[in-house]
Amino acid sequence: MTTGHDTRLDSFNDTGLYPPNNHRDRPEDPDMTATDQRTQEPGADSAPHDGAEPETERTVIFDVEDLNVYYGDFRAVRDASLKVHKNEITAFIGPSGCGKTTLLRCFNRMNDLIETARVTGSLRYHGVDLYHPKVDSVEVRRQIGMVFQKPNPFPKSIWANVAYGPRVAGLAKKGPAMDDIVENSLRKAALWDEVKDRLDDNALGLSGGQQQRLCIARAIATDPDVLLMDEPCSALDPIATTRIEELMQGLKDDYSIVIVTHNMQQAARVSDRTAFFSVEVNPESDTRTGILVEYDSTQKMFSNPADERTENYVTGRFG
Amino acid sequence: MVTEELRKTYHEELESVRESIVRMAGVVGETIPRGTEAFLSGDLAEAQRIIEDDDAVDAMSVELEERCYQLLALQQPMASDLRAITTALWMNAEIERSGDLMANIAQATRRVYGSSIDPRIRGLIAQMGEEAARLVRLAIDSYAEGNSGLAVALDDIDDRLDELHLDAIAAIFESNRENAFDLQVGVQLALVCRFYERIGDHAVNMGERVRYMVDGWLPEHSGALRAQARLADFGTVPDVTS
Repeated sequence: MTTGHDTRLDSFNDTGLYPPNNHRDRPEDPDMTATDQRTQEPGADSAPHDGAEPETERTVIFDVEDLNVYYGDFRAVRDASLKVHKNEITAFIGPSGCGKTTLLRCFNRMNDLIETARVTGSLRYHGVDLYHPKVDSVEVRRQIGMVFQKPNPFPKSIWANVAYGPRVAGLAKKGPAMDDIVENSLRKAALWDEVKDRLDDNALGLSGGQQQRLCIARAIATDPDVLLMDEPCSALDPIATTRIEELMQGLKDDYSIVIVTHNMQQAARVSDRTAFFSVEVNPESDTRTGILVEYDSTQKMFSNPADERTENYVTGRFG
Repeated sequence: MVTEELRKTYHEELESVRESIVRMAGVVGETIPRGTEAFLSGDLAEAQRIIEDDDAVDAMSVELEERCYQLLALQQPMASDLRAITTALWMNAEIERSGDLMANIAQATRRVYGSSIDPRIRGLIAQMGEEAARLVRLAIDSYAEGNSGLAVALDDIDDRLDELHLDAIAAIFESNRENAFDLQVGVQLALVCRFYERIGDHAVNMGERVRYMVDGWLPEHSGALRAQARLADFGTVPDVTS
């Protein structure tokens, strides 16, 4: 597999990269030879995907195996392997420079936007190789939304912020259908009651916590499958933080969430599973590489972790 | 692995709680031979001191409990720290209860005062006192050292005390048949034997908590597994409340 460049392929723009059981049709297999996927017989869709997990009680959304991320010659993440499960909140914790945000950004190919970034290993999304050259990274980002550290609404109206994604994705045009999407998204983001009477106001006039919930509304407006959250509460006060955490518990019924957080207590409070990353310093080059140390149920990670490094980190004896 | 202590004050307080638990267990542990001696010699003054000393243990226990709550509320302990604090709370309760049992024996000293006790029963009570003191000492050693192996062994070590308890009860019946003492005294003697036996049980409980602290093993797993097995067999767990 190769990466580091935009791998849009026209034949995939139509079929896209759709996870099973989504509101749309079943996904096509991008590993197949690029022909017009729509010409397939309907029954062909039910064939198992390459490497796809069977529909067990816990569906695997992301299956990461031996993933390495490089920025040029510098290896930022080494040999990470983990599975992210459907309708769960998965937290990534660890000290600065441990590669947790880098790995998160792989999940919707945000690293593509960095010229020198390169990914090796396997990252499967519903069994589909996310970094396959035929996969459309724009469609990936529609299905796998992201919320960033600092609230970053567009300098537009509240309504326009939420409507932007669905409009670009062609889900709806201006009118009642779009109004419904905007309202539903704002409701799901627990913001509707606070903004319903001022949808035309500039989003930048909202408080920090409201802006972040608006960004969540904007992310879910395109009907994604997964929400990636990169320290979504680090710029918020405790009350706004609690609101987002409560919101996440509601959202996980509809979405699978992966959150990077510096706040261990937050990971403990909100997540079902926790991955702890640490940093390895290469004594020769003095470079620091992120490694996945331990990944388990959150309860286990914070009450009785198996790895001494996890133990030291969560008890504040990090060295 | 080189680690840097980032939460020095918090971990010092955690260590201080641990030391207090050991100290309190030491006080209670010392009470056992004193209480046995007072009982067997009818030393009412010493019995009184033991009852008063138990108040001091109660005060220590309340203060320790409060410190544990403070740590939980203020420091959000995790992993081994969390297990250390929950274990300290359990240890605190088990030690405090063991102290109460020695106070009960001190009270029994008053109740049997002036009665002559069969030498065989006296011998058994002396042995039970020694065994109970040994069990408490081993339990607290396992806690202080984080010695999971010793903690697990306490259940079997306690068998000796259980046997002594059965022997003592049999001896009390025997003595009663020979009309060696009145029923009041017989009941008091049986209770005293039971108190020692219970101190042994509390030591076993402490061992279970130490095991949890060391490796995360939760006590009563075997009972819970039996309940699950019954659930699988009969579709319901028998109602034990009625």
